[in-house]
Amino acid sequence: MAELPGEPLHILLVEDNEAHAELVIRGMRDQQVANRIHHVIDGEQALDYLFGRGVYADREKNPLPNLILLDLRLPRIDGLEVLKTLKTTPNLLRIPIVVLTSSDAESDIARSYDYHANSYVVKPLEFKKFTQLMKDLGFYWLGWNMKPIQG
Amino acid sequence: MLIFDLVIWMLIISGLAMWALGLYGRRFVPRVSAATPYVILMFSAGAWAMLYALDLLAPTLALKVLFHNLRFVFLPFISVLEVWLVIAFVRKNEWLRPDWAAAVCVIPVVSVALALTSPLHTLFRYNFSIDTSGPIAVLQYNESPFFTLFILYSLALLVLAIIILAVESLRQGTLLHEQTLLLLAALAFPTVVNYLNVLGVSPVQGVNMTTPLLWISAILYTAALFRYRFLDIIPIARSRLIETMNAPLFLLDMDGRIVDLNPAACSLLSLPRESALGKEITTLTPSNPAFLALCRSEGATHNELTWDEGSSILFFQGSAELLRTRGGHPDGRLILLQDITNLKQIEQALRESEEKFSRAFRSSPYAITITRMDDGLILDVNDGFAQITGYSPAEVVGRTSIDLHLWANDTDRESMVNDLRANKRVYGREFPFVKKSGAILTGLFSAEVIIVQGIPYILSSINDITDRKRAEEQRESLIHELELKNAELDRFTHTISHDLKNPLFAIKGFAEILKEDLSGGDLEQVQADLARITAAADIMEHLITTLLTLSRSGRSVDTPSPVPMTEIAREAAGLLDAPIREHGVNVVIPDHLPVVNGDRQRLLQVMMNLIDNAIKFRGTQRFPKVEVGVYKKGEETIFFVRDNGRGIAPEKREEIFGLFKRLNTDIQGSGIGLTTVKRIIEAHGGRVWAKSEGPGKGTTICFTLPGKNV
Repeated sequence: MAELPGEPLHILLVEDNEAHAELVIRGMRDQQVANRIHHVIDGEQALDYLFGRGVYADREKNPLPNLILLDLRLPRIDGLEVLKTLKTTPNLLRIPIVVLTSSDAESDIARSYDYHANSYVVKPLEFKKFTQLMKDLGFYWLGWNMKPIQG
Repeated sequence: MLIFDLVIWMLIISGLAMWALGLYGRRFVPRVSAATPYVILMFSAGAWAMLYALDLLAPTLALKVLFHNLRFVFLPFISVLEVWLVIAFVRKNEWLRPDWAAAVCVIPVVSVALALTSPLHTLFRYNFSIDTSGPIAVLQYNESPFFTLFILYSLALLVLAIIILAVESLRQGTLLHEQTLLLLAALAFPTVVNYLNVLGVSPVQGVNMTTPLLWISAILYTAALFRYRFLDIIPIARSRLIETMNAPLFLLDMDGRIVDLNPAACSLLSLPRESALGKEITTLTPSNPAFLALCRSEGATHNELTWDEGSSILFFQGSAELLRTRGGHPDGRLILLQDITNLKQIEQALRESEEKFSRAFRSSPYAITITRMDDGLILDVNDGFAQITGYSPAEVVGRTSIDLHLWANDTDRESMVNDLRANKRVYGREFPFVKKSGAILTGLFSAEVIIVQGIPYILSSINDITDRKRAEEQRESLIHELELKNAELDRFTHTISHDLKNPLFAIKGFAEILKEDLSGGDLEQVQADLARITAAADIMEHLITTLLTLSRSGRSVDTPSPVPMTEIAREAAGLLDAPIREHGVNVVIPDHLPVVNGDRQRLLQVMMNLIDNAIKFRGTQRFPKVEVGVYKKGEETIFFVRDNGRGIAPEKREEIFGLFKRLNTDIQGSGIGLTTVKRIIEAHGGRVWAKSEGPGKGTTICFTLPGKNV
């Protein structure tokens, strides 16, 4: 087990379905892997947050995350579109993005990797498996996984 | 003196005639094998006659003996030469062997030697004296036994020559009968006279009349030579020709018996020559009236006849000619059969192929034309042409395709003609043609240049593939449609599974959390969890309902009934009363909307979806308004539902009808509503489309319902 670092770790959760968001947040919180989860409900909000626009201009309150959990079917701006934008933006492209979705469509998986998603995870319907997944994701991405040097 | 002169002149004339014939015969030496012995024979016999004349004219015994002996330089070889001549005449050249010739010449050579040395011995003629008891002073002498042997030998050779000539002439059936007879006579005459002389019979005492009478032989030879040209190549060539020709030839006597026939005739009868000769021809041939008529014809006759060979039937052009003697009496018939089987077969094949072509031309479903290449004049068309183009043959024959304006594009015709000139044929090219009615047909065009009596014609055919083409296009478009449907189905399956899984996931998740919260006794949290579960279940229910509506929307309208559109629109607005009130929407529905034929329930669905959409997409409009209406464009009645909401970008106007296309993903919706509308309208045979001035300028959804307005 990797040692939990002292400095706070941030996750950006992009999820339009409030029920799902709450389940993710509760799963993460119960496993105590992340210090802070920032939740946005559509693609536009996600980009605003990451580019520090509008209400998210304050980086103190809204720091760049160490991990992004991204749903694909999002209002306003689609998840794939968000993925494409982030992975082509120089100071954001190193942030690990895990696509977390209920879609197992081949085209979604293929296109996500085409746009350089770091991982693609399908939400398991079993809640026990889901909480296990949340724990594993936390340990792996925030523990074992080396964080990129922000530059 | 008279007898003396007569004998002398006969000898001189005979000698000169022989020499003249010898000179004349020289020209045949290179071509005719019998000419060489003939020439030598003539010169020798001439010399013999001349020397005999000199013998009789000589006044002294010594001179007489000299000329007598010189005579025997030529005489012994005359019979040898005659044998040679006959052998050459009957074309038995293989008998002319040097060893045989040497053997035959032994006695003559000895005779010459003994004759020239006669004063020295008594082995030949000897003891010469002059006998003047007769009218002519002649030599008298004794003859040795060898001389007698020599004379008998010479006569034997002559007889041999006569036998050879007679036998071979008969055996070969040569057509040189007259020449043979003349030659026989020429040979036989001196022989007979000589025999008589040996027997002591002579009209002039002491004179061997053989020599003075050689002029008779000379006349016979001359007749043979000049009248029948027996040395000439033509008779031989003719007989060769007859023997080698493929046409059976029969020579019949007046009773129909075969006198002669050539090898072709033998093979036709399948009989050897010997078995056929002398038989009545009717006993050898299949009963064949045409042939029998030929065999009994008077004068020259020609007719065509068939000859059943068992395995095959032969065709002959038969001709018969009645042969007559010099006196004009019918003597026999010459029957010639020319095999025309091949000709007949070719003729038959030609007729059949002509018939086949003609049948193919007449009965072909293609439009076939025969056109003169130079001026494009149409010479003939078939029924297929009439059926395909609508022109009757009478309307097109004698005109040109340019007159008729048959080609939709003149450039096509020109390119085809150029191609045809270069390659002589054009195959399976697709061109548009104009029918008589003016309608365009798509034709698969093929053409070929045919030359008839030196004039080039174009034989062309058009296969009407208009229907096939249309079917192909239809199939293409169906396939395309199917592909779109498949893609839609694919998207549908994934979206459904995703959209249904989401609430399910929430339900299961919160059910678990609910357990924890219950055990923790956090009643407030329990309430929240339950609310989440209920909301998710509601979403699922809504989704399933809309899906069912969609699946029903595309069914064809089986029993259309009159549907008053004003009533439908008002009913729809009534059902949407809650959101209309909530958002303060002004819904305008006129009284005069037409009554259409259709499915009431589904048209209500259309109105509901459209009004609902208009309310949903009202945007930031403070005074939302939805207007239902109708207008006419040409013959078409167009319904519309217009709002003053957020509008759509022009490039998205098509997209909004796609399944699960949610342009405005912040607006709650299944992405099925407009798809359902589209399907219902199309099931009614109508069209639906969107109009918008752009974002913020409202949207108008238009549709037609061609089901007869009532």
